[in-house]
Amino acid sequence: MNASVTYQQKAGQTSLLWYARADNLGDALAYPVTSILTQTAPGRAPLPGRSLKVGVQLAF
Amino acid sequence: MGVTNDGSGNSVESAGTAGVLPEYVYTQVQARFTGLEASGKLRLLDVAQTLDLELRGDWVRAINTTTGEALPRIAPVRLGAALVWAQGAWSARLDASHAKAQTEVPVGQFWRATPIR
Repeated sequence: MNASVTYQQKAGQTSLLWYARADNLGDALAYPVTSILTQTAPGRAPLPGRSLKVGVQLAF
Repeated sequence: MGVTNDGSGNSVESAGTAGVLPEYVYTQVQARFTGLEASGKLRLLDVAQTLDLELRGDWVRAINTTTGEALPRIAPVRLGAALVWAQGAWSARLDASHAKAQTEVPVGQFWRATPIR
């Protein structure tokens, strides 16, 4: 489960997208079946756990 | 080390003193992929604020047509849903997705974290 909040702002020619996102809210443990690492390093290459990212994306 | 197996896991090149080097052997096979994918967006609210429900799902079956075995490292059945809210410059999203454990794997592929040895 993921959640995110964004705020779009314009400053002249630049557009700014402020964002905060939280991924894998349940901190679920899972391995990517499509990755070769799940075969060559079993149990050692899981998908990311719970994380929070905050940032701004500028388009100019 | 060496690559020629002397029959007991050791290499001929090392005169049986060192283990054989593991090799990645890539071979081409005849394959058939069958799948289904669907996604949709439903507008739940459409006033000063908007609320959308997004749904998505996909399923793929990949077979080695020569042996009838499943192909390795194929994505499992996946389902997803998201609620997207927007008002003016603000927007928020709550997303949930589920991937079924992939049990359609060829012999030799691990489908769990701890391989059965």
